[in-house]
Amino acid sequence: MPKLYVFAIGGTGSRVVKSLTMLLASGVSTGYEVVPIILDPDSSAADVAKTEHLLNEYRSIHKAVAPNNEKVFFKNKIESLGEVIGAVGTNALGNEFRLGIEGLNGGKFKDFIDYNLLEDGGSNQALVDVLFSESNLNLDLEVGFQGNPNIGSVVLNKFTESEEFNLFANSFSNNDRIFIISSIFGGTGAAGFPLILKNIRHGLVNGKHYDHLRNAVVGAITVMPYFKLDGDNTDNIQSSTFYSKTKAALHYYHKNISESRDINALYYIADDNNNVYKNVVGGTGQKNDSHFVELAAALAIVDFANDGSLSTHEGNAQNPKYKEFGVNDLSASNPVITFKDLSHETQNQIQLNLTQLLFFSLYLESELKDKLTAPFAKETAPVIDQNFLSSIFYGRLLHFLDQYRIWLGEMKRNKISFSPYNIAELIDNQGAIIGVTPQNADLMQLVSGFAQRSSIFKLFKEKSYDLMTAALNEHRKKKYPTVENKLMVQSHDATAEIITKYLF
Amino acid sequence: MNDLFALFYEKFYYETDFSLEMFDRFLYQKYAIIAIISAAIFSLVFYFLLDRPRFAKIGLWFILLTVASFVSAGYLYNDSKSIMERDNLVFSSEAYFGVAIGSFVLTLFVFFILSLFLRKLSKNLSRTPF
Repeated sequence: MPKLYVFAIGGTGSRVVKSLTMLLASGVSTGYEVVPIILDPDSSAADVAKTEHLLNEYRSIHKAVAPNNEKVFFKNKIESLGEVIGAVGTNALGNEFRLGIEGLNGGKFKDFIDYNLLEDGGSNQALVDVLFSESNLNLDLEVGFQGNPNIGSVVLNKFTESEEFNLFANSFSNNDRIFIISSIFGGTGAAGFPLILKNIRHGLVNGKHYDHLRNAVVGAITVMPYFKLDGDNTDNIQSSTFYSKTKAALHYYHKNISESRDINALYYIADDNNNVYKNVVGGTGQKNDSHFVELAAALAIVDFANDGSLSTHEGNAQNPKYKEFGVNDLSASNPVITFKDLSHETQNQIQLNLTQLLFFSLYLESELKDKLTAPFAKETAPVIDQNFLSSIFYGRLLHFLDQYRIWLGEMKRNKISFSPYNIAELIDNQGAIIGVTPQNADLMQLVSGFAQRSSIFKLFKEKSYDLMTAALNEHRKKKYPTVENKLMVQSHDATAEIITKYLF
Repeated sequence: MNDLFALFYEKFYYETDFSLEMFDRFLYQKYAIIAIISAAIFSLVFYFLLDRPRFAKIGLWFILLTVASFVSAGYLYNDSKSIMERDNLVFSSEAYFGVAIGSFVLTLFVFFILSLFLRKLSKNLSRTPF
C-alpha cells in the first residue's frame, strides 16, 4: 500500500495528528499507510508527548487487530518513519514518531548558530545582528521558537540536511504522498512548512537528486489563528501579533508557494479566536484542550488522500486546489457545532464513524464485563473471557478509548464548541477533563438532534445497550482469526447496524 | 402410548382403583401430552418470544420451567379431580397430588430437553441456561 507521509510541525501539527489518529481509530480510512513525522523542537511539549503516546497505542492495537479487507476500527495502518526505513533499507531508525533536529539540544539560539565563534564586531556578526534581535539570539530553544519563524527557519533547515530526511527521501516512492501540517501564526510551523516544501520540490537531498520526490503529490494545511493567549505584553508570545504574522506569512505563501505551483492542494482553516488559552511557553505545562479546528484540519488530510485528481509534472503541481473548511449554519448567540451543522460531505465522513467508536467505547466501559456469557462472546472460539479482559491489549484499548472520550469532552468544552453528543465532562481538581459520561442512560439518546426511530413493535424492541448486545449476537457464529480481531470487527459491524437502523 | 405414560405416572402414585380409572379414561396419555405441550409452549416463549439480551438469565429460564411444570401439574390435579367427581368417584387428594407430581417432573424433563435444542436456534439466549 502506498504511504502518506504526514509532517506535523510544531504544537498545532501534533494536535492535528491527534485528531487524525482519533478519526482513523473510528474506522475512517485514507487508502494509504500513514507515516506521521512529528517535528517539534520543544522536547518536553505535553501535546506532542500525548500525541506520540496515542500513536504508539494505535500502532499496537492495529497490529493486534491485523485487519484484512473488512471494515473495522483502527483499520488504517500507522507506522513510524523508522519502521518504513527498516523495511526498505539497512539504516534503521528508532520507532519514534517524533524526529530530533540535529544540533538542537536546548541552549540559546546564538549557541546553535555559533554566534560566539564569529569574529567579535566583524561583518558576519554584524549581519547576524541585523537579522536577529538581542532577545532572538538569547532565546532558549529548549521550548521551541516561541513565535519566531525567523529562528525556526534557521534551525529547521538542519532537519532537511539530516540523515532522517535523507532516509525519508530514499524510502519515498512514486505512489506515495506528502502532507504538511503547520500553523501560520506561531514560530515552528510557520517556518517549517515552506522550508520542507522547498526541499521536496527541489528534489535535492544531501547532494542526491530524487525525481519522484520532486514530482510528489504534496498537500498542506495552514492553520490560521483560532485562539488567543492570556497574559500581558511582557510575555514572549503575544496573541496580538497573530493576525499580523498571518497576513505576512499568507503574502509569502502566495508569492513563493501558490504562484510557483509548488503545492497540489492547500487547505486553509481559521476560527474567531474567542477562546483564550493560558500563555504557557512550551514544556509540560502547555496542555490545551482539543479543538474542532484540529479535527477539521485532520479531515483535510483525509480529503487530500482521497483526491485522485492531483498530479505533479516537472516539479509543478497540475491544477492545484485551494480549499477552506466551513460549517453550514451557526447560531450567533449559541455557537455550538453538532453533526447537523456540518455539510453533508463532512457528515458522511465522520458522523457514523465517530458515533460507532463512542458506542463501542461506552459498551466496553459499562457492559462487556457483564456479558461474557452472551452468545457473541462465548459461542464461537476464540472466546471473549475474563482472561482477555485482563490482557495488555484490552488495557491498552480501554486507555485509548478513555483518551477518545476525553478528546470529545475537550472539543465540547472549547470555543467554538463541537458538541454532537449529549455527554457531560468529568473534571478533576486541576480543571482537566478526565472523562465523559452520557447524560441519558439510553444509548440511543446520545447523539444530539437524533432520536431513535419509532416502531410499532417498540414494546418488544431492545433498548440502549441491549440493542448493541443483540446486534453483536447476530455475529455469534462467524469465525475470526484472533480474539482481538473478533472484538473489533464484531463491534464495528454491530455499531454500524444499530446506528444506521435506528439513528442516521 | 397410554400404556407407556401409565407406567411413568404410576411410579409416582399407584392405587388400583384410582390408577385403573385413570388408565381406562386415557387420562395418563392426555396429561402427558398436556405436560409436553406446556413444556413446548413455555420453552418456545422463552427462546423465541423473549429472545432479548436482557432475558438471558438463568433465573428467568428457571421461572418459566417452574411455571410450565406447575401449569401442567395444576391442570392435571384440577381436571382429573373434576372428571372423577363428575362420575361420583371419590379418591384421596394424595392420589391427585401424586400423579400431578408426575406431570410436574415430565414437564421439567421435556422443558430441559427442548431447551437443549431450541437454544441453538435462539439469537440471544443460546447460552442460557448453560
